[in-house]
Amino acid sequence: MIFRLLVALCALLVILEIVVSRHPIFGWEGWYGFYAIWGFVSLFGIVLLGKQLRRFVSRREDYYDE
Amino acid sequence: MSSFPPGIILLVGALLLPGLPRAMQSKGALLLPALSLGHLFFLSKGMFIEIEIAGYTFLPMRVDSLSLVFGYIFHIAAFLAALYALHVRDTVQHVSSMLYVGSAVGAVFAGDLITLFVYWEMTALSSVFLIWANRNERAYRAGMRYLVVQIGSGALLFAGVLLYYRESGSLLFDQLIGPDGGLGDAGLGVWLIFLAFGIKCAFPLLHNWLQDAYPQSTITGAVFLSAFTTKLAIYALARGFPGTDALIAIGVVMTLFPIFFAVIENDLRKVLSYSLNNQLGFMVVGIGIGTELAMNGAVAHAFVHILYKALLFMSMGAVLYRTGTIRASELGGLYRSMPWTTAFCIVGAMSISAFPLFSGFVAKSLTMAAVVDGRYVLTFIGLLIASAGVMEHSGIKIPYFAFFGRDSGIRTKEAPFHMCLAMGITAALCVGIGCFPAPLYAILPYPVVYQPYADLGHSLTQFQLLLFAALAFAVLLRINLYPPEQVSTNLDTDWWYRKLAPRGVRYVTGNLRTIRTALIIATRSAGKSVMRSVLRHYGPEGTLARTWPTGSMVLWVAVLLAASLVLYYL
Repeated sequence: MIFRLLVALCALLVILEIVVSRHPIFGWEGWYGFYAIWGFVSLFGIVLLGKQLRRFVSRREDYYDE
Repeated sequence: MSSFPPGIILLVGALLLPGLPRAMQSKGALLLPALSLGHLFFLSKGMFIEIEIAGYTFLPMRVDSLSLVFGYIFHIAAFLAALYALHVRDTVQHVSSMLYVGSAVGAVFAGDLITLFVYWEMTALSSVFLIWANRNERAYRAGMRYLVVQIGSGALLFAGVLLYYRESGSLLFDQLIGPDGGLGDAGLGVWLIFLAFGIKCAFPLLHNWLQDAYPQSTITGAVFLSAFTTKLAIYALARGFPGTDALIAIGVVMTLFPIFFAVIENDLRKVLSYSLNNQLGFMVVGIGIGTELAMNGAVAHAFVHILYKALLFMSMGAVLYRTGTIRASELGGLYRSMPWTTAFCIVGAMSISAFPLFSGFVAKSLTMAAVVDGRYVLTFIGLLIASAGVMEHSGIKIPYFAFFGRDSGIRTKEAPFHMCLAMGITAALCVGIGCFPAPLYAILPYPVVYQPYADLGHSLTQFQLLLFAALAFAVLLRINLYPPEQVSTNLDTDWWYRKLAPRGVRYVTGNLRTIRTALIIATRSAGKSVMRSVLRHYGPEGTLARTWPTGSMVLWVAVLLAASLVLYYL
């Protein structure tokens, strides 16, 4: 239910981009739906990369207690 | 007008607090920031106090727009944190928190570097008690590490100030690197001061004291700690190093690396500490750019950040207070028991994520506009990624794992009234500033022409960025790719001094006997070989000890004479 609401909200935001005028400074920043894709991909990437980080830095909780 | 430096009321008041009955101390601590703020309103730009000691001129107070902004927000934060701590019956905590606030306030009004140094060390000494007040082994050790780092920063600052005085002949705390100078051609003194500020500001690789110490502090102590130490460093950088290019790169790295640690961290107050580090990065970038717009951005960001970060620490503190744990793996579903705390936490989360109409947006937009104005493309890209990162750890992870998500089965009571009141006022300020930024803009160091809501497209793209990030989070959860919360310790740079260095020392001390024997054997054999070579050259059979016949010398002289004769004829 909440998930569907979120999807609908996201869709609405992308549609709104047709009517709202934007003032991009960098060319690529002005592409249609750029920020939407950027937000999605960034978070996706951050979480997956963070997950890999666990392999290197994760230890049991009492690691430092001796 | 004869006056006295801000901070004095807090410092003197803190020392008087133990005289009050125990039940009154927290109320006294609430009164002090209010009184001191009243005093602050009588100060105006351009006022200063000058005293001369032993031929040196000190400025224990200098009032200008930069110090005033920090003065105001420090007082507001102190009042809110004291309100949040109204239930605490611990003299040590009340005294140390007010000493801490007083020295932080004193520091931002310090006009010379020696006064700054004194207050700088006082913030370290007083704040460590907010960690130790937890009164357990872990907190004690974490506090020790915190103290060593902070005092170290102060020692560097002092050495830097002395060298700087020798180089420049001035003790005035002002811009330390000229507008067209860089760190490259600055003297050693300036470098040391920069490093001291960098430690307190949690620059990359110098950052880990923050994530180490803050989660070990008391529930109310964390709210105080989150507001002052690092923002004092931001103030100091803004005063001493505006426009120093190196800060842009440092700031971008600071916004990026903590977000990965925040993803996998289980202790939610530690997640907030990483998030704090990431937020400092935005401010450091602003200071590095150094234009009026960017400096306004950095200062405004510090102002609103103090509020929403305190709010987040308050809400997590309330959870810890009621449930006794702050591990994400043990929490979840608390919105049923703590609806108000949940709501306030969400306001804090939306503010830090910079949703339009929330305080983070009106501050971060200034910095972002400055980045775009200066055409710093890579910085812009970095900060956009970091913005999604903030959404991940502070915007979603904190409220989701504490209050929603899997139901932990914990049923408890709502946070006490005074905590809710403190959170409520802070949340109201976050929304208020977000909707009506004009009063905040009015107290910034430079005039603001920027209007965050003039460009509707900007708000729309910000909404898109954040909500699509939220969508990605929801998708990750649905397809089971989101890493489950794990009970673990995650290594960071503290590993070097908590594991490697002690291990090295233990290795050395444990093997002293072997090392001694090895040293003896080595020196003996070295001595023997020296003796042997001496004997070879100077001994009875040595080359240098041989007797040479006189005849051979005469022969060589004859050869040389003949050679010179030949040369002469040529």
